[in-house]
Amino acid sequence: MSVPASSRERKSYWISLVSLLAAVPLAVLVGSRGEFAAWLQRRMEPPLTVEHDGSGQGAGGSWRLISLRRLPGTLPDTSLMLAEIDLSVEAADVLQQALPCALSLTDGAGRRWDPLPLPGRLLREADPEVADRPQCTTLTIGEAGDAPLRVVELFLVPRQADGFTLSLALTGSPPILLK
Amino acid sequence: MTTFANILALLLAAAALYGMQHSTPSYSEILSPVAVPAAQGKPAQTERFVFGVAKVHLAGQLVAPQFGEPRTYTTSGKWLVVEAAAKAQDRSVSLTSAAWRGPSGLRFAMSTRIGSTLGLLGSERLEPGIPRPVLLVFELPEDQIEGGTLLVAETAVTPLSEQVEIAMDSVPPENRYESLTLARGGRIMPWSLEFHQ
Repeated sequence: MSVPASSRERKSYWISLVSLLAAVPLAVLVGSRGEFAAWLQRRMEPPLTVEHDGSGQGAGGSWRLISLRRLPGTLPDTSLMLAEIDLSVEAADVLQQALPCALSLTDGAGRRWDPLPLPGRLLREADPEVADRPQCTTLTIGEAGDAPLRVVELFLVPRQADGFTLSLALTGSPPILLK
Repeated sequence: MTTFANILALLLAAAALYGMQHSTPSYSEILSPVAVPAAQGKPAQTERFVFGVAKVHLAGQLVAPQFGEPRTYTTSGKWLVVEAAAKAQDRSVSLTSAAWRGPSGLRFAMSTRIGSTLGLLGSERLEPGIPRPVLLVFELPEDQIEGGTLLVAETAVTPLSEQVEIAMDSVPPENRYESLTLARGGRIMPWSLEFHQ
């Protein structure tokens, strides 16, 4: 034989249920020790857009697109895009934490290319002067003096692709879009 | 009446639990890639790449270069060589997982006996808008070839990534050989094939 719940029991039941909805996100927030809030904040930060000839500050450095050159491709109907970026170190310890960087190339249609891995031979053929420059994956700031560091990356794209934007990703920092 | 309702609720709960227990996918199924069924002869489209089979060859022995010299690879089964093409959709991808699923459900990984050159799947990254020829080589028991399925994915270990599953036609008689020689090609077509009936 069932006994109908009192109004006090019903009230407690609903208060507990609503409290649970608040308690679970709160537990995630507290349990992550600030990491979740920091991640959320980073996700909500808009990318930093740097127009041509400008430089953008991010992750302890100042980044500037020097050139984005189109060269003959290694396959039919393709082009190689050679990107050169200058980095001026402003806060070495912050920058050290943000490396390695990752550069990608996006065209007007939204297609995205990652840089070619191990581009040494192609760089030597394209422009011997930049062949010894570091890529994002090999960049270290130990070599930095007062002069800016030059980073080069090579992308293989279809010949008809255009309207490019370079996106620079660094750990713990919003992306920097170089136009 | 209340007792009857309680018993009914208990039975319903037991039936629901039994149903859930038997319909819940296993841990390996949850982690397995999402299948994208396709047929041979048509390009298979996933969200991240397109893959199509062009030609399939079957041979009793395979001759492939090793350290610049041709080397003969024999087998107690057959060599299945698949010539295909692949392209990234809207961002660069690497296809690193290929397997052959035989009619009995046995899975065979791509052969690693002939090295990793010659445009084999995984040796080159795919770029958006640039289709590339890719080669797949399997060493299979004869009874696992007919009615097999070709499985291709970016990686076999990423949960919820897509895997193309191409139901393969039987290999036509004119594509069955005693011996098949695989040689280095050029930059555009990384391999060339020579047949011996």
